Amino acid sequence: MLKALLYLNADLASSIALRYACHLAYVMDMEITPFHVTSDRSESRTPGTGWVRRTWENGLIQQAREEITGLIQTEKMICPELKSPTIRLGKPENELLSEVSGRFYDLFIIGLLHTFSARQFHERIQSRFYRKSRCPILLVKNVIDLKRVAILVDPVRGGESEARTFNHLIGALPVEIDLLSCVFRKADNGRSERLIQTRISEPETDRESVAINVLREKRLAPDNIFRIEGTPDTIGARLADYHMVVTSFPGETGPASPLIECLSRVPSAMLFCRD
Amino acid sequence: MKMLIAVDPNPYSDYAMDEATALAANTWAMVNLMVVQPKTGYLHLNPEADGDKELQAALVRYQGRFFDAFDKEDCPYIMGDGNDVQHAVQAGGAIGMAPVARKRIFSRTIAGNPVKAVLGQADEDQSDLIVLACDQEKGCSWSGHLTAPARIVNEASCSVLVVKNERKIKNIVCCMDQNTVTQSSLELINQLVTIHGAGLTLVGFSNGSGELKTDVEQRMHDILRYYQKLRIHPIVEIVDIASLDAFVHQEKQWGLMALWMGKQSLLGKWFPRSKMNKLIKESRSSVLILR
Repeated sequence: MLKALLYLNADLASSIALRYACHLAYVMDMEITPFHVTSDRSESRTPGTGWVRRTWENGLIQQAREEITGLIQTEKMICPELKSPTIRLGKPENELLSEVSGRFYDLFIIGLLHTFSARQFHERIQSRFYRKSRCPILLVKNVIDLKRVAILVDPVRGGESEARTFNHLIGALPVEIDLLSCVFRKADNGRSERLIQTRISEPETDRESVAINVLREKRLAPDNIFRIEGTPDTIGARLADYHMVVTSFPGETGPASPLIECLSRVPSAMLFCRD
Repeated sequence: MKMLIAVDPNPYSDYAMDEATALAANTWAMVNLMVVQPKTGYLHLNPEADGDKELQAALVRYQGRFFDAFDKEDCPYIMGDGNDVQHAVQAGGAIGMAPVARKRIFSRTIAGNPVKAVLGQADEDQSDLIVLACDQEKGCSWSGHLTAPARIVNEASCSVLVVKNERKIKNIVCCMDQNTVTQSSLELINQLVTIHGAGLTLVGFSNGSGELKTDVEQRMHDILRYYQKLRIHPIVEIVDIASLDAFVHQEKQWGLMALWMGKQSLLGKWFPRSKMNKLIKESRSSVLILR
């Protein structure tokens, strides 16, 4: 049974992630652990020490537990029985890193609303948790039925981690698999931003061959192999056709990263894999 | 639902008729069909005048186009001209529904200024929705008036659908920035999604901070759940209101853009008349203003 850690806040993004995770739990053998980190939202100094402080902390945790339990209750009609939410007090990134380091999880699931601006996506990808977590991360933007999956093969170091993570987490599901090698070019006002897509019948790079060999371990094979060249915008629009995009964690995470710029345009779920 | 279909003799009005007919078939709305005789001072039609002949011919043609969309035996509509039984018999003999139980479609020819005529008729009928098309090649004109569709959109107290071309609607983008969204408008979007087999995107506008107002977020959550229960899975997207122009500029990817406009809405402030006029005039996608 897969073990998934699902991070929840009392907001729309978490509601979407919860619904998506519950849907996955029905089609996969997956146990979901809801998790939330609360912090002192007031600007005043934390009160006292000893039992006064403990009472105050317990009050915060209890309030958060009620909020998260209420969120889970709103989806109880479509969710399997979930474990009681784990509530921690502290800084979210620290507590999350501690949790995924201390226990074994196959997958970390979190929601993020799809935005027109790439800023929120950049901030999320550049956060410490995303950079340091060794657990695959499923970033859920919308609830979309999972039928078509794109596996992006990093031309330099990719292939194995993406395919292996896919096999482990998604491989048992009846989905259409496309293998995509993407070449990003910069937007040039003088040039056409037309996407150049080539469908190839056999892998042409080592990375593609590695990915296909890993998929074969689970008797899987890509339905299509594409070589795609375009700007981050045009490739992002192309990837929007898929219900999930599987990719290795971007090597460069700065604002100029074309992969991050491209992924910020995609409204579907994203599965970030680790080497 | 009460629907007013404003047509003129030009070919683009076919698109409005088809869209409205599909809605009527799904909702059994009360339908009023109108043309405007843009002649001031005339109180009566002059059957001998070419323009009037053209208007009447257009009305008859659109009535035929409406009824052609239904099976004769199962058509829930009859002309509202009193000849109930005669029409029912002519429809095929086997009356699946008693004539008095069928919906009536009324046709009208109104003389006067096109905008005033449409708005006046909508007020008189207490219409929920005005449907019209426009000539995209001539700056979205209707009935020979360049600003008519935009003025109707701006001044109507009900929802207005401006249909652009015979374009397959693959995606419907619904924009909201406030809490007040009516059940009937949700249902109208539901019908359009079903009729076109289109995808649905719910857009919430944030005001600078990148985050939604709490009541808007809650409303989006409720709307999302409403459509999910209908087995429609909308895409949710957040747009900063400052990026509205750039967002709308991408609209060529859509088939229909729906805006929930309210008195207190940010959209109302960011879409003053001039911008709305520009949107109506230049958009290649159909535009639905929901009130």
